[in-house]
Amino acid sequence: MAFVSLENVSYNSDRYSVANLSMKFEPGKLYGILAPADEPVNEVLKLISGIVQPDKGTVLFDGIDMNVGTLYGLKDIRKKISYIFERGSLLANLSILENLLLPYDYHYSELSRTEKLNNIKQHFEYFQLAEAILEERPAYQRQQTSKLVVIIRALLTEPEFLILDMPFTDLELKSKKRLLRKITEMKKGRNTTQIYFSNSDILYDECDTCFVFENGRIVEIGTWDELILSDNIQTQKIIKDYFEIELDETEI
Amino acid sequence: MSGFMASVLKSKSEGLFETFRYMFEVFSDLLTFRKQTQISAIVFFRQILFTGFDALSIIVLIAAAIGGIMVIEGNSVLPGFTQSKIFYNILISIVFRELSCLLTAFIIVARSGTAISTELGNMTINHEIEALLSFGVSPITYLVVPRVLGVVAAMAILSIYFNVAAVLSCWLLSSMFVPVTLGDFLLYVFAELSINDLLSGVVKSIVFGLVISLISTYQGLQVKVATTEVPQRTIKAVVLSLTWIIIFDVILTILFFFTI
Repeated sequence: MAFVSLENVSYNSDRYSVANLSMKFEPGKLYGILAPADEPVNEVLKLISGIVQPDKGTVLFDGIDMNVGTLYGLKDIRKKISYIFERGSLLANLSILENLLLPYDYHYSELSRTEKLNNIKQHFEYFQLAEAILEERPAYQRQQTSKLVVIIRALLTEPEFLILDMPFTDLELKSKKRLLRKITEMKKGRNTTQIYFSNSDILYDECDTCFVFENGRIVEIGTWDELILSDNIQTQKIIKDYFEIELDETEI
Repeated sequence: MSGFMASVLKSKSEGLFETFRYMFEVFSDLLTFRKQTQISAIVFFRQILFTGFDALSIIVLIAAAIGGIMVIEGNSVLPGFTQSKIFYNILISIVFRELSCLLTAFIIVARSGTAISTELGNMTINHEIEALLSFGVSPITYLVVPRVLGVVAAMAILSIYFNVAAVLSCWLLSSMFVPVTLGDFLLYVFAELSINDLLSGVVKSIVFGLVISLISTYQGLQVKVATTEVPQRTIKAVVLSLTWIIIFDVILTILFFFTI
């Protein structure tokens, strides 16, 4: 049985629409989503994670419908999901520490504050962030620092299901490498299902399966290598135009 | 023309349905608020601090001015006004039953209603609401319910402060015309004060607090993507709050008038 699945999902908003979308995600695997650069396919990621609700169809997490009942009623499921947003998403009126503790306190109230702080400090050390910023507000931080805090907040709760929405945006090379290492470590550990979306070709070759989207529809499914060799014109166009890979015959 | 009217009616009825759905959601989330106080309590206390404590000085100033003006104007029209029984009746019916709740509500609309609406609107644009949803925290339980409770509590407390400041100001000014001790003055006030007067003030405070907080949070959360929506929604929150406060004030005044 799939860990997470979308079954005949239809969704229509001002920005994006999908019709009869079905997808399956197995436990512990890394999935990639590709789409034209101007397509806000991260709406699909929000559907998968339950941030937005479909107009029709179901989103199942471990067999449970994510859109039935209250958020509080689904607390045990939500505990297992984390989302790395492309930008923003830190609560402006809370300090960095309060931002990090918010999901932590909500889902792991049984852990002591010392345990939580130690875990936060370990992540700060890994991503080479100064602990001095913990008491500061997000508005005072550089974009890279804010992004790293968003990443740490998502990783702190040790999610079983992690959504990476443009995770490398705003990061400098060193931080990109550290995050890349973290994602591949999680993939090797097989404990976390990850769904990755980006507008660069980083990490896609590590994905177990990639979904190619165009106009709200899946046009092809396969591994990165399969997609590069694909005969599908739409897939080729997306890969060529937006991932800046030359697909001439000699290179293939 | 009939098509236009039909579409206006349709959109109005949809808006009304959406408002009732929102109110139902807020009231039902009051139950879960208790279960997640580990994260929501701080929002509640911050709201009381901002709405209640930080507005105290302006409330006291306005209440003192109202009390003082009442005494001066009353004496200019009717010499010996502050010695008559009617003075205490007017003090209670004007200040305790009407102005304390109404003026406090207006100040809270101007200070907290706008702040709540703007803050929630900006939070939506900055994806903060989506972040809360992503880790399974209901924005209604975490952001709206503590604000509703905080505004209602602050409204009730500020109305009491308003009454106290107005009475003290009345005493201070009236003792300039005819010397009277504070004890005697309070004795006259309490002699005229009925349970209904107090109840009227309490009920109005709660209703106005609910009106302000529900409208402001609702309008704030209606912001979708653009920063230009934030001031538009804030203005709407202010206008609707003031309108509904007046409507509820009239309704409650009539209800209390017939129960006396």
